[in-house]
Amino acid sequence: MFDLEKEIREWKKGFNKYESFEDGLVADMELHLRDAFAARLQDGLIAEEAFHKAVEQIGTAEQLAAEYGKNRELALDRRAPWRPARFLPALLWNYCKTARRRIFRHKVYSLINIAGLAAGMTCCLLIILYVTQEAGYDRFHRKAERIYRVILGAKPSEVPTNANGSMAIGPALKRDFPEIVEVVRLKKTGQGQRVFVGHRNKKFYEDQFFFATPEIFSVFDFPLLRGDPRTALHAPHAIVLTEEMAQKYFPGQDPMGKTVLADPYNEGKLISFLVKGIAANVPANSHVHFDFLAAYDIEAEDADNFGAIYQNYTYVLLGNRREAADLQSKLRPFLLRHWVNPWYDLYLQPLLDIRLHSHLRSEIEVNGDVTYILVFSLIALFIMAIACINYTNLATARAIQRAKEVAIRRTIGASRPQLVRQFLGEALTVSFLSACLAVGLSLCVLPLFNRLAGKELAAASLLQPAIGLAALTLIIVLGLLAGLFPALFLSRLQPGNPWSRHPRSAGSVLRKILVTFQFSLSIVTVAGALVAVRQWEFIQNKNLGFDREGMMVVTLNDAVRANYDAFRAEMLAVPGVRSLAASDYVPTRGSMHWNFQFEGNSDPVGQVVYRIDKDFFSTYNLRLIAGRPIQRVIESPSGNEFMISESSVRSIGYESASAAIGKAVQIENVRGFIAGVVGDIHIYSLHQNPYPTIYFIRPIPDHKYLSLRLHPGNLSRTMQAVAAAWRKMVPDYPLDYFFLDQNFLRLHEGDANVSRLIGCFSILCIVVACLGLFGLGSFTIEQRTKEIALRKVLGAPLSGIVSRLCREFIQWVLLANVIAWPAAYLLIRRWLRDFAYRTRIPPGIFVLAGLLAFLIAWITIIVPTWRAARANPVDSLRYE
Amino acid sequence: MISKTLMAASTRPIILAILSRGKDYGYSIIQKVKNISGGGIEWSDGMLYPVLQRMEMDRLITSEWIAVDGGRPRHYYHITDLGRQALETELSGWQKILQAMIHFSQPLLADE
Repeated sequence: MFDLEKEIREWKKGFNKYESFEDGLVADMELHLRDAFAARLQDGLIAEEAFHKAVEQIGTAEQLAAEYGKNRELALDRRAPWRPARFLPALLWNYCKTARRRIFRHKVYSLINIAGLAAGMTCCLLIILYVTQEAGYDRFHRKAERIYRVILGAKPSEVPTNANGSMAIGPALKRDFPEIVEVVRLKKTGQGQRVFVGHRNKKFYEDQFFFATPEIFSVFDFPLLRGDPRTALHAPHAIVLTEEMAQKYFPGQDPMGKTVLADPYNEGKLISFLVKGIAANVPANSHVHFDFLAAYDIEAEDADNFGAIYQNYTYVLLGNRREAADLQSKLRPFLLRHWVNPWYDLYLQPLLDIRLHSHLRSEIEVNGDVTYILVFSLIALFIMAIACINYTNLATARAIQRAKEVAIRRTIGASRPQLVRQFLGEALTVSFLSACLAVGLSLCVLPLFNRLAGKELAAASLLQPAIGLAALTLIIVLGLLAGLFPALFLSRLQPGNPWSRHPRSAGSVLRKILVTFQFSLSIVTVAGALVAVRQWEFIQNKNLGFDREGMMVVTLNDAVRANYDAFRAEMLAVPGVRSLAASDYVPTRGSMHWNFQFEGNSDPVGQVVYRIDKDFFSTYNLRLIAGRPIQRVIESPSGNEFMISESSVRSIGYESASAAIGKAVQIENVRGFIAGVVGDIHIYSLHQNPYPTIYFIRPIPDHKYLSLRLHPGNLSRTMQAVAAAWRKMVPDYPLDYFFLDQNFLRLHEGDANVSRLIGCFSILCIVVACLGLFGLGSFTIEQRTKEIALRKVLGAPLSGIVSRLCREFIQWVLLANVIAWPAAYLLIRRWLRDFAYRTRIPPGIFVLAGLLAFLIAWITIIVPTWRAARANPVDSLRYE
Repeated sequence: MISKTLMAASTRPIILAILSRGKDYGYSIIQKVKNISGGGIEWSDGMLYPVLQRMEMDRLITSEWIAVDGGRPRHYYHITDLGRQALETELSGWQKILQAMIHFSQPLLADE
């Protein structure tokens, strides 16, 4: 059935998208259409046909818009000389004045909007800085895209397991593959081991002492400030210092040509290194931070042994990164050419993947995690969404105040696109002011953020062009996101529309949905923060399989090892030292992996090896599960005793711990049997499962560490006594020690940072959401002043009025839990999946998060509500 | 067939001439032009209105909305004094052109 009015309405919509058509012009066209339609009807056409002919007769909106557009340009040209120049939109200054007036006349709401958006932008800027730095690791190397690290996959694993490898790999790769342009080898003398370095009276233990081949300067961009990069590391015992170390050991002097003494192998033998170069300090966003680079000892023992795996890292530079896949396929045959029966595979790992995607054994440093990037990015989005929703809610709620302005503008000829531009412009102005505030806030909170995130982001990094571009994008995106709906909503208000006298009802459902959504986001973040704190506490208190409290670990050297019995007696004589044990490794300080042959299993099985003394099990309080502790030192080829861990039992394939007792064990030509099984210990972070571990007793020359179990009382005095005993035995070397529990927590620094940051951001989410709720609530209550007054006059109790007003908002906050709880559960479960050991997610967490949100929202809304309820009705009604 | 240029040049004087006889509205103006020219001059309906707007900007005409018989208000146009002056100038110009065209289009008398 042909409906003329409906067809005319549809036809008029075609004119809406053209700016040239003011309302009056469209009315003209409509009248003409109706006259033409009537004429066609009189000619005998049916209604539908008559309508289409009339529309054809008038012409297309596009053609007419072009003609009207020419008239507009002409009108714009005819300005009085004192009017603004033609390159500015005609009403720009008017819009600016209007926006400024609104901001200053309604300071509270403007402040809420600006503060909310500024908080969101500050978070975004800081998170962008964090993410930029994390994602930008190693990108300062110009050849970064062509550099690969050669990593291992120890069998039976089918995936990479180790970042370190053999010294033999690099030179063999360079010989066999012409597509490899250059090879760099980097070596640390022991994982986590510190090296004694001294020059005259400056003596310290240094963490970042490396050996490197000379090609490091041609492959990587570690610029030399002094010295020739081609020759700085050529000679044996040449060394390059960073600027910081040069200043530390040679303050005010030129270190070039001078010597430093170092004991890189911890043998108590000081080697003299000649300073042949000063390198720039390594930037923070590098996966390796060296302070010393000594010339690589290419003649070292095991230099050609593919099976000898040390803290050696091999990097290759390819001619073209497209060759990587092809080279990867050739690595297995390469290994077989050089080594019979290899127990690992080789993989190429892009340099740029190391920071965020590499969590192998023996990493040079603890790497970041791409999951954290995603978590923080998500949080930034949440906070921005909440801030945008605040703006949208407040703007639409306060539409009544703009109804007259909109009506006047439309009456004098403003088109809807013009109004939309005006309101979007106001939103962009607020967004711009927020951005200015956000930059200032970012500079102020940057130190706190660095402390929480464990970073060293410089204030100058806020001034990078990329950050500037990000800020500009934020201004535009936030301004548009926040302002678009209010702009479309407000521009739709019609002059003379009776509805516009009651705009309170308009958009109120949407506002409630937005409030609900805001609080859902906040509850998700709060629940996430509660679980992050719980996981952190879990990590701190998790049973690691050994007693870590009061465990002080001292690094041994040859001087101590030579007089070990006397040294041991001195340490035991210190009051406060309950027991001690020597070993070659301790938890959190690296490990060695060998393949053993076990009875009942035809294939060798990889094990973490701990060479210990007799007191290790008692000092570390390991749990004996089956068999007995071992007592005999391995010194003969047969009859030796071994102890294995629970995980070893499973990896070997024995049915139970008891079934493993007495089983034969062999490594190369050393044979023995399993005497006992102990519980698993965690030697690395809780992101990984415990490794299968085998223990056997070796004499002191094999041991690197002495673990001292200290009495918890008066720790500082005990440590002083230990230091004094050390000085007595080893006067030339300062004491190098650490506490095991602190080392363990350091492995989880990233997790601690994340839980702190999530906690802070969740508070921010709630604050911003409450800001919006406060603004919206205050405004809504303001609009109902008369209603409240009337209710009071008619006898409503104060509590009734307050609860009635609060209920309107609080019910939506309660509803937010329905959306938030499942979303929070899924996100939290995804995050905890990265931990091999994780805390439970009790339902109480979600209830607590919801209660917190509810309580804070209630406190936020109760203040204006109470104030309004207590106001004198006479004052409110007198306004009428 | 009247060329576009001629159509464009003649639009304003024709509108002024119609309005000089009394106020009128858009559709009526188009119908009058069609009827008087016997269909020889057919203006695109929609294109009239930008021309009217332009003439109003040039102050040759004014407009007002008048409700007739309780029906929809119509947009009526009136000629202004400036419009009348412009009309006189246009008519004078068109007359001179017409005279020249008539003169030059007559066959030349053969020399006898």
